[in-house]
Amino acid sequence: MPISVRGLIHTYDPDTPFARQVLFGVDLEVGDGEIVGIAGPSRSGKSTLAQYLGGLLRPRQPGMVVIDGIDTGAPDADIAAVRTRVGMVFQFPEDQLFERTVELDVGYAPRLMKMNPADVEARVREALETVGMPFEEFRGRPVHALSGGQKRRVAVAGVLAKGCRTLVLDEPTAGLDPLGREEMLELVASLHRQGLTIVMISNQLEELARMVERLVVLAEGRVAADGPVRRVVSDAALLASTGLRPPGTVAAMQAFAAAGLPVRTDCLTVDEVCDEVARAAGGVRRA
Amino acid sequence: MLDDIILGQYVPGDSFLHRLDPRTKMILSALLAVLVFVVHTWTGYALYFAFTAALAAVGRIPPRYLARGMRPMVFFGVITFLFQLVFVREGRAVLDLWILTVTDRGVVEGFFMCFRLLLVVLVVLLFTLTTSAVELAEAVDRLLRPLRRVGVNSYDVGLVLSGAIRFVPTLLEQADKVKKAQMARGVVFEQGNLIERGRKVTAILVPLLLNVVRRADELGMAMEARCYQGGVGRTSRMQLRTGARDWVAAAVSVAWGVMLVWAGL
Repeated sequence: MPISVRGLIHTYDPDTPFARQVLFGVDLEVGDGEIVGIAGPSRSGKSTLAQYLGGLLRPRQPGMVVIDGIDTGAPDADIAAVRTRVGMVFQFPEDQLFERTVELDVGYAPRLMKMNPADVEARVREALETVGMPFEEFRGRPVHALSGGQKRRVAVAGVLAKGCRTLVLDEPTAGLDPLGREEMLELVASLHRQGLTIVMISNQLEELARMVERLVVLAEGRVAADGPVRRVVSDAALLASTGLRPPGTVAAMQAFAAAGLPVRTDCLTVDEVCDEVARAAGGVRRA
Repeated sequence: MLDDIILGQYVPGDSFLHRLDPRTKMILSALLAVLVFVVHTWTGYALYFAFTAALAAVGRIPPRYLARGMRPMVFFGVITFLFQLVFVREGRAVLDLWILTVTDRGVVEGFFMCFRLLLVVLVVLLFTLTTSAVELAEAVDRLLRPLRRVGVNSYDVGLVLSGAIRFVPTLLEQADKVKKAQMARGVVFEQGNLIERGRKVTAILVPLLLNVVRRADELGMAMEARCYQGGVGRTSRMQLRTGARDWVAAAVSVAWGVMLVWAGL
């Protein structure tokens, strides 16, 4: 289900003394089954762009957003269909939970779609199992008695229960402890393995570098870079100009290179760093 | 709809209105609000409206922005109008529908009540749009200070009042976020009958209320951590000064009010 964004502009509070333009002509294509990261410093327009990808904001001329063949800017666009196909997970999604139990909350979207109770239950079961929460164990739990990380996974399940094939996640790890962060990243990776198209937004290149294949850098409302993650995160000049910090692995390799060791700098994991340094240092074998 | 609520916004500027002593602005706004209930002719309301429009121009508030802020009030205006239609019995009947009788007096009163409501809101908006939260708190504190002798903590009242108004935009932002999150889950708020819509609103209200309570709790804790104790023995960085321009504003407003009353408008 491809997404195509052309010349997207956005201004908050137009026609008021507080008018503030955040997007200045963004172009972006996301193909089926891709996992794409969108990085950028605060106020670069990431979250706004995300809301367009989820069909929650609708573009005005001359900007255009086409999701699965539906032009969301058209007045007669079937926007409900778009929102069913693209799932949008907001920052701190646990804030949107409101039902008494896990089962009721996750089943909210399927119930709105007027599915029969048996189908709703099947959907809820599937969604909960997908996010790693056994259905029988969690179905009756009161939502507000869960831990922060669990609530967040319930919220993701609530979005998945719509049956969407594309997921847009806005800062999915914000505010989680290291363990919760790892679990969330593992969840996103497993959703991608199951064939979902993923767009993940973050201001942490560190985690995006490990997760995505393609990275888009947004700066001041424009696309500053769009390409294979290795190339983008090792482009020191680009990152410096946008105020993003390279992942630790890349920073380490840049330090080695600056010290005169002939290494490539686009290493994304600690293993890659070790291998590359060993190779460059000439036949030092790793223990 | 939520975007249209502009109560609690402050339009920074250095116009005549912005530079008035907030106490002057507050007292004059209150007087203007009372005056709107004294006016009782079409000419009177037209003049009153012209005066508030002039104030908006003096305060450099863009008319379109102000008009947008008034939009949510139109609904209440219409309700007020209908109430007067139904309940005013005096005058000549112009419409007879079973037990409902609409009189000419009722129609006129309906318009007048509707104007009054809209004009009062307009005056309040002009005050809050040109007064920062700090000024507002300081003005309330200073105006209520005489009540300290009877045990009213004027500092607290000022803080609570300015806090309440200034948190409106924050609250609206939160509401918008939750609303969008529920839309992402497939809720279409514009669809369904009254009961279905009511049920959908709980999807916004419950998370919003939880957030607000938590936020209030955190704010209280943060204030305590900074040893807040209600302004006892505290001086203010902001020194309010009443100057020539305050006397000009007061003279113009009072003269204009007296004229309206005296002319019997």
